[in-house]
Amino acid sequence: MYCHISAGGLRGLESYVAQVEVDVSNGLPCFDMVGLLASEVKEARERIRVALKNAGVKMPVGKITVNLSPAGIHKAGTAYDLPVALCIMAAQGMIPAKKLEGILAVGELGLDASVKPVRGILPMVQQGFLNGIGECILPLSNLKEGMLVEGALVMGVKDLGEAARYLCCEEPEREILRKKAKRSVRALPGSETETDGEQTMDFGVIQGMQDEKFAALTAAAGLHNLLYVGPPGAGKTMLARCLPSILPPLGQAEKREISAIYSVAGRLSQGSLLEKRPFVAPHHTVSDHALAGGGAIPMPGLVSLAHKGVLFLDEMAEFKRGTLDILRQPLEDRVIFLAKSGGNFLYPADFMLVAAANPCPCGFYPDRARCRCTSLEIRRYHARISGPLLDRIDLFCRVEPMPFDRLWGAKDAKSSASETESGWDSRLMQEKVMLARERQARRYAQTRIVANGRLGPGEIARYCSLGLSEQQFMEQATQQLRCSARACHHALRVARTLADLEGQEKIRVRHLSQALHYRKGGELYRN
Amino acid sequence: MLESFWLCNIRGIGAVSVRRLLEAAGGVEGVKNLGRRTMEETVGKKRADALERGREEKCRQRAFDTYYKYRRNGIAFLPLWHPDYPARLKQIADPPVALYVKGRLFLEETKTAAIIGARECSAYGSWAARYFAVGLARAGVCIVSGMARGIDGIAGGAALEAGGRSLAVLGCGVDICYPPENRFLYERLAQEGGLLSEYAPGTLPAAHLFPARNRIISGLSDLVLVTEARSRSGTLITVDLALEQGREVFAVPGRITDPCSGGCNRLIQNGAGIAVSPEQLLKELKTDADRGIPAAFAPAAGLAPLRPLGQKLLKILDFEPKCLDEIMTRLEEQTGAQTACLAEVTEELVRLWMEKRIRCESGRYFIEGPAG
Repeated sequence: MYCHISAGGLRGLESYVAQVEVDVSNGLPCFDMVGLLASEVKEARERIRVALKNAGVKMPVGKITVNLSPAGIHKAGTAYDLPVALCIMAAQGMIPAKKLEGILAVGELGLDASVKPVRGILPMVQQGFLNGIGECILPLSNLKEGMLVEGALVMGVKDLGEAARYLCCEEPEREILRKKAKRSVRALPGSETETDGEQTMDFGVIQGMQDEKFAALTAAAGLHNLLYVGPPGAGKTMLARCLPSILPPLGQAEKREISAIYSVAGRLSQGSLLEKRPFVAPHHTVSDHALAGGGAIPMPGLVSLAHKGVLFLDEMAEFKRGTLDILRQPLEDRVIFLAKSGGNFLYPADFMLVAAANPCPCGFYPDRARCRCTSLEIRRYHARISGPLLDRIDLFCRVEPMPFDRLWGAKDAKSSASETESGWDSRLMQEKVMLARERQARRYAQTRIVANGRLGPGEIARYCSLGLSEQQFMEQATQQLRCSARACHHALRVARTLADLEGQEKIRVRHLSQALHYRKGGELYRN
Repeated sequence: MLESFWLCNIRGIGAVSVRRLLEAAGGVEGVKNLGRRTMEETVGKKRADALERGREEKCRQRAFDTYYKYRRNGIAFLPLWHPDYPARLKQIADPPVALYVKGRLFLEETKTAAIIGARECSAYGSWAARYFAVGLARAGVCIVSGMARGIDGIAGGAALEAGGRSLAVLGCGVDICYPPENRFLYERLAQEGGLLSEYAPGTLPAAHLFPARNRIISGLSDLVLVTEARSRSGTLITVDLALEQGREVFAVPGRITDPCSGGCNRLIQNGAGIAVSPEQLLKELKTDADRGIPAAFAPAAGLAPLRPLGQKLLKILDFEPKCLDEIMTRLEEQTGAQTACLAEVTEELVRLWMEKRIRCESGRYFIEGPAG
């Protein structure tokens, strides 16, 4: 007796619909699974055998052959347990075989026949829906995730028996069962999103630091990469943690895109769409594979998890040079290309880089009263960050330690100073960012450019045109401040954003000079 | 000359032995024919053996070849008994037995001043080094320094740039540029100034060679000026040597809170001269400041007149680098109200920076020279 059902397979971030075929025929009793399976899929035999027994189903006596097609694609993960078990039950006649048609089943089985959650539900259901398989049976704990795909009929099950009962029903009853399952998960607490467990902070809690806040605002408004340099304890990390709070809120399409990545990484634990922009802050001991994505069929790395969000590198100079150099390609192409034994993969990695670094090994340069680092030591320290990576950073901002009296005194002044930059909070800054982004969106409507920070050299000439006096100013700047051509480009991009922040179409001298302040003035120690 | 070169380059015979041998034999020719017994009496058995080996024709020939090689490379050899050997250096307690020179020595014609200081110097220290180097060099004083990182290199370079004379005493062979980042200065000194060392060409820089080099710096100079030194700086070794050699020592005063000037202030406390201006030092050197103070330190001509905000900012800024936040706070304090906006202040600062009225380093702004 032959029957088949659809299952979801993952290959990197992409998902495909796999067919689970089961045939029970006469012969010596045995249970074979074929279809280029990883060992966890082969082990499914034992899980299924015991689960069926505990669900009160007798294993058919005969030669059971299970094939997962397309048989040429390597299959891994435990999501095939449920479809195989359901198919075996159908092959025994416990479920009418034609009722399995047009159904996608995903789930891991426990020995007690319970159905356990798996990763990658969102892309699987999405892919199934696109292929015309609109009805899915999912583990109950993954149901919320499956419900994110609009239009798909998703059913969550606790155990094998429930799945079988559902399949035996006809449509009106199925609808009732689906609604019941949905009600039960809606009651589950918490739809809080999980982005590395990082809490976003509000810029309002930071007193003073007008310069630093303004740099953050500019970076967010134009999607510029940003580097904070300053002594330990000055607030670099705090500033960076506040940054996601002023980025524009995620659109629905973006939410889906990011959530799919998190689903594949198994980090969408609460089963709802990510609401906040990702903020990924790897420790400086992070391995190359963790950052880029590792494995024969690679799991998304941190650069992909930071997609559409912020990748924050604290203590940038402490990272291994090779690890940092991985970022060069994603920063350029906005995707990461992984060539692995399992094939070539292209993962999205469109993040905003925010980094913090000490100015020297002890951290206090140029405060000569505390810093005794020699120029050689400082140069070596900076040489750890490769030049090409620094070249992709538009904004350099020096973070100064706050004097004690101002730290406390500022609180009293806050009420009166809410109009100035030092009193800015995240809500106000986000509004400014949104306005600037709108201007950019209008300007780049016909192109693929997202924001000013993503302008290429050719596009800079087109969109950052200067008037005569501005041109003269830039010429002077190149000579007097010894700007390289690249530094000029960066300054122009930033100036474009500064003009957008002011709501102006024309770049003025004040925008250029402010951009130069952030590009040239904050530049790392160079001798 | 060949014979002198040979004597100074015998393997196993150092500067002290050479001097003793010369005393015993009464000249280079004498050393060549010195009897074994006298040799052993003057320098001991081991060195006597070395000398005998060195007297073999093969070794002598090799020494002569080396001498010619140096000559071809523009490196002159000056033994202690040479008429061109710096007279000032002969007076010190342990003059180097020979000097290797690349470029020119202008010592006899001019007054000399050593400008020395910390390698890791502040903006103020480097400004002071340049200020005094240019001022002295314009009046014809030869600036002696060690071509080290920081103050030394800045002073030497500034003197050359002002069209003056400069000498650098190296702690390695004169054919080696150390530190490597001063390559440009090294080349320039070889062309327009002078490089000298007591170590044979090819000697690599080593930590123990530098203190000995310092006695030559002070020995060559009529006056030693310390522009910036911490309270436990290596520069102070040179100062001690200079005092032993009877040289005038001057120090540029710094703020009492500035650790970078701790050594200078201590020197002043202990009776060193206070260096206030190049003219004062020139008076000390009994040289006329006929050419006056360099125009390089007046702001460049043809600048646009200062805007009101620029004037306010220039009043706030000084030697000590200040960050934007601090400048803003000061500005608010001064004007009383919140009249300044961040963008305007930044613009003005960058303009001033471009006009070279102020400077910016790692995000902090400061004034380099005296205002006006």
